[in-house]
Amino acid sequence: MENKSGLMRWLTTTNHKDIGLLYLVTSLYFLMVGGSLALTFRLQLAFPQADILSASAFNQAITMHGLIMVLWAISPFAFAFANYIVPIQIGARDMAFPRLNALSYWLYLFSGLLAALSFFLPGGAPDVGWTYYVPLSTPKFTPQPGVTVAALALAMLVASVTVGTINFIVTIATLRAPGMGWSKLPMFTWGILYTVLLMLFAFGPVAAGFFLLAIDRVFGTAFFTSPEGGAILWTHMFWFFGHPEVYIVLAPAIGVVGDVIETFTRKPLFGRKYILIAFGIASFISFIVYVHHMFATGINPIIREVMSITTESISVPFGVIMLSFIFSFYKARVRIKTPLLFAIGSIVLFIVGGITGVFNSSIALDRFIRGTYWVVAHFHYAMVGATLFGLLAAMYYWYPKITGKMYDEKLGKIHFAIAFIGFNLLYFPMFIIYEMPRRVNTYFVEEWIPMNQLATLGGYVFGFSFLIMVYNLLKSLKTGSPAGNNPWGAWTLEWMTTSPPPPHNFDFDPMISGNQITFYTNGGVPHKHVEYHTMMPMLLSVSLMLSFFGLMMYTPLFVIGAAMLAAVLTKWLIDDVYDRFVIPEPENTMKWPFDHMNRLKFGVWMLVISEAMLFAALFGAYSLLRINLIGEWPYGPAVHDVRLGGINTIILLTSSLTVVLAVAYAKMGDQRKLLYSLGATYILGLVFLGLKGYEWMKLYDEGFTLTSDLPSSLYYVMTGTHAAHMIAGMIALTYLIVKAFRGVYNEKNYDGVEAFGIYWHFVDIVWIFLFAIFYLM
Amino acid sequence: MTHGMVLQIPGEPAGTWYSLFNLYFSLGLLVGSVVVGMLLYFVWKYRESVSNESDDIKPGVVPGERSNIKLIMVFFGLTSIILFTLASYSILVTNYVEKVPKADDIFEVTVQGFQWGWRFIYPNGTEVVGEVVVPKDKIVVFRITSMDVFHKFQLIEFRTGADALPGAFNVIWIKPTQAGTYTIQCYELCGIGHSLMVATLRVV
Repeated sequence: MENKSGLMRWLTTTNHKDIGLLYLVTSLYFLMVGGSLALTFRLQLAFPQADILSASAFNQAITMHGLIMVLWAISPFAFAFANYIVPIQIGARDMAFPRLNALSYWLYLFSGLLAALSFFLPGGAPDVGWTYYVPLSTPKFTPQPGVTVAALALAMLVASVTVGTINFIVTIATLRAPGMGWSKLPMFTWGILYTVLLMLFAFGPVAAGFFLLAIDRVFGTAFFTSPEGGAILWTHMFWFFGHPEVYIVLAPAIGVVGDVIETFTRKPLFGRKYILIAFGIASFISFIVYVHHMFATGINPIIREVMSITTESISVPFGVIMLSFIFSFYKARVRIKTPLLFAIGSIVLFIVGGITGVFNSSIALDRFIRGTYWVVAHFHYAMVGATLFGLLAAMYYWYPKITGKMYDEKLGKIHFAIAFIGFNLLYFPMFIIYEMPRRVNTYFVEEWIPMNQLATLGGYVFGFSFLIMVYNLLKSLKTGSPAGNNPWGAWTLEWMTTSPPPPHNFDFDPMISGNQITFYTNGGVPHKHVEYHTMMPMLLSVSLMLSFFGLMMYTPLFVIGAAMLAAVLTKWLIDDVYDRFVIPEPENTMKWPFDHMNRLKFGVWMLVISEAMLFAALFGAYSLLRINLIGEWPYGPAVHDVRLGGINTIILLTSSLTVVLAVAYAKMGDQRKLLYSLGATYILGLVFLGLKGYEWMKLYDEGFTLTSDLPSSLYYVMTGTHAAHMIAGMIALTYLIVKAFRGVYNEKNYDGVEAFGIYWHFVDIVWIFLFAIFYLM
Repeated sequence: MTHGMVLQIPGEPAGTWYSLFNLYFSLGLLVGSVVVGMLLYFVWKYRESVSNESDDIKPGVVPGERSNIKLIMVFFGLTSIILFTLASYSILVTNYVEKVPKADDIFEVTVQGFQWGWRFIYPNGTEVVGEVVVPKDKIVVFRITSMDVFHKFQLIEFRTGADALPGAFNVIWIKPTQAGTYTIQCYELCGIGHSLMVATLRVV
């Protein structure tokens, strides 16, 4: 395809570096929005009983500040660098799925705009806190549509994150330059790998939580309004995601700090291997500490005590990481440049944030501390201090690579000094007035005034420091001296190409032999670059945003959005059928753990893990509700037709069999039998869905409806989610059948069929569990 | 009202809470200062203009491993010991805070949080909104619930609190030893009246 220029280039690009820049600009925009909200409510808090923001406006401001900063600003800021740098650091030409990479970005942008749009709706933006605690966020207490719109925006963001996660895992696992073993991956790539692995397991459950909440809000079910589910169910579903999210935000910064320390101390990172092991352990533990957010809810004391201990112990790997970072400076040659200053700032602030977080691991201390400014100060030291300072280090570190120009070093150092002072002025006073409740728009205690005013002053100083950065970076675009390929004398691959790098990153593919990075000579003929452009990812995201917005506000808009979505999907699949978007598997890569693992298959495996987490969360919700409703939950066979369900189970299992046959025939190259098996799978799927629909109608006639009680709500939601997964599978199946008609599958090319098979088996297995818990128990 | 580190302990469990908090605080301060001090010292001592160390980072060469397993084990051991110490004491205090002490005459008050205020129901069935009066030197138990949304019942000066959830009861106890007026406030965002969801605890 032809190269595009101007606006069209940005709307249609699939190049990871362009997408990285789009992420950069967008995340800085959201950082500014979230920051402005914070500056507004800091002004309100500078004076007791001030009248700048009403209680409602204040609650909207803090809610949107939290949502935007955590989900739409800081993590995407990290993914700006991840998109730009990771493929180059591993020696790849692009991401594994460039088009899906573009989709991730556009879903991210439009989900953010959808969330921000809620400010302009009647009743305003959500005012329930970014944690969306129920029952406050159920319609009885907050009927305004903004709460639902932002929840739907979040669902859209989860889609973006899931696609991005899969893309990064597959890219890092399968597109590394030959010889680049795991021990040779740069720290930043490791940081991103940990980030996406955490995302893979954390985002499914929160999607399930917001999904249930959206159903409560739109259809009037009672998952979160009933005492049996309610607050406890929500806090479980939210914090299972919420705690790992802290490390999701942090991990890229740890990676940046690792690379920056290595480059500016002129020594290999101290204890690199142990840092990585420690982070792996911490990532794992991060999923079993989340109850420390629920110490005061009165849940089972044994679970609380266990999670109190796991929370204390998660500090041990972080202690090892930080001490290793510090010892990297021992007997080194420290070049004090702006990126290093920010990296050191990140370490110092993380130490403060980490130590003050240990306080919350103690149940006795946390019973009081939860909900106070201590918590606000602590997590801002961790999430803003450690993370944002780490990412600002990245900004200065890679600016010369991205632009080809050197920034103004003196202004960079001034930025650091003002940012560091402003930050501490902003958050340290909050430790001093730690007994003040968070999220209050007014207070009556005079002793709290001075520290609040200091914090507000600090907020404005901190905010101002960003203007220095923006000025510096914009000015240096024009007047900066040329940076050259490797201004820092770093060892990693991104510094072994031009600044900025060519679209395909390297003229000759890199490889590592021993410890030496070399390049394939390829007979002196440089790699020929092909640009892929498509507007479908952008259009798909727009149509999704329109339909979500229309669903809540204006039905015709929903119809338009949905029609557009269908058209875009069709166009996308047609592009594929006609092979308009084929990126050849690169030959020179390091693969792991399977030599022949193809990108698509690997990607589907990751998708299955992510979907399994979503269903696991729903099964978790089922368990909690069923335990709380013991004695009232109807015995399965008394409500459901076991015979019909059994027949359906057999039908679905048979369809798994026909998929196995399809894969086998594809491998044999038997086109006719391949078509028959795919067709049989399709028909079996249709029969299953038909019977399912019949069952639903019969149950509705019997008065077993979506809103009649919790067991019935859960039945419809869980079997409905399963049916939606089947329908998605059947859309993919339609595509496979069209391709099989065209005879593209043969002995060499059967990955599409195999990948579909993995997904289909997964959907079948989920059904077996659903059948067991609803029909038989 | 007590502020910052100023101790005016109105009774239990505030006294015990402070002893735990002070342990965490002093160990945290000690560890934090040592570690940050070490970092800044290394940065200064080995700055490029004075450092005699070699430059081991070469473009295009993957650097080797630099580590010292003994030192890593020391890191691991030290952080573990510190955290184990903190955790052990924390568990003792937690058991103390969470278990209502045995006593013959426990004064039990039921607390209902609502948008936006606190209702107190005395043992004799009297209901009061906004102020609760409890006896000095006795164990006072609060059984906390909510009539609508998620609140948190916080006895600021007594350094204890619990979430108020609809359909559930959480229990906390205090033993006031100083007569006086203390503040009760909601510590979980519960809507536009959240900041004003305050009540008074009077110890007589």
